[in-house]
Amino acid sequence: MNVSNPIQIKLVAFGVLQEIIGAPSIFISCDPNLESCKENLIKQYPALAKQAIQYAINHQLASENIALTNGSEIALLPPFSGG
Amino acid sequence: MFVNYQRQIILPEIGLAGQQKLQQSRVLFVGAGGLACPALLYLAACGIGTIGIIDFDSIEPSNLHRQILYGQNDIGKLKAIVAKDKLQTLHPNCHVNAYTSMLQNSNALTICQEYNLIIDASDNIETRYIIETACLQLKLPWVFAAIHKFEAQISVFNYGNTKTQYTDIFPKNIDNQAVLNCAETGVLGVLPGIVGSLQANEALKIILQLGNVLSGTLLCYNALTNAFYSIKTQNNSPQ
Repeated sequence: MNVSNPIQIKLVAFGVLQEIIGAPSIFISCDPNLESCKENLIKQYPALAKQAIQYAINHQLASENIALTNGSEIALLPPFSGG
Repeated sequence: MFVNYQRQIILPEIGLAGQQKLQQSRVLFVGAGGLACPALLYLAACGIGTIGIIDFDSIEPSNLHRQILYGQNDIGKLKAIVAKDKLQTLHPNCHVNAYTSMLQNSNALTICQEYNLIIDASDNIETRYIIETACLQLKLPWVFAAIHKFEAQISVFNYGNTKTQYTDIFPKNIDNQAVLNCAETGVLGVLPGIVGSLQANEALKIILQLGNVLSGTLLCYNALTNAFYSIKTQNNSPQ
């Protein structure tokens, strides 16, 4: 059985995602991987489930289930349309 | 005729050789709205030889607070035509082509192949996919920007060693209708002024091969906080 200790991460949200979360940044606890972070976020903010979101970890675009460490900063990026 | 550009020619980084590069350049703007207005003015003013503008839309009163090439008397007229006329009056050295059609997969290659660099000043994600497909095929760099209320995203795609693409960040499964545009959310008038100027700056750096281009980087800007948040978009693995 794979048991991991929860970690604290900082979330920075942009555009409509910031409006859903209600703040430019928040701290959450999750297991030390991106998938766990996503699951916790959607539990806390169900409206995020309908949004297109790209994730960046410590200012680097993340497309896989990358490992997180205590204090990691995760950016939540929505696509913008306007021009 | 280079007397107009004397203040930039005396920059050692530009010089006469740089000015000639600008004059030989051909830049296509996809969209002639808020982002395009400042970028068109700066690129025409600095001596770009040929500018293309593709936009099928007409000028509406609600455009005027941010689309600063247009005024009250232009309402109802086609943006591409008005932009062309104004730029050629201001800067006769710049040759301007206007296309009053919509950029589609069927015409993108024919139009884009006439240019060296594409500026994405469009207002929808579907058009960005069309630009990406055409630029990949024609091996053209493109300068992307998009805005939302007080925020913006800026990057350069298909350029340099990284050759990052828009779809590396936002894959093609995004529902365009679910992403709100300026008409639906509102936008601060000066925001596309700032961001369009950043696009013009990236275009100049690409043409003049100067400085660091936003290739492999997505820059997020917030006009309310003056914060820039930079995200590396290229893969960390060795090239």
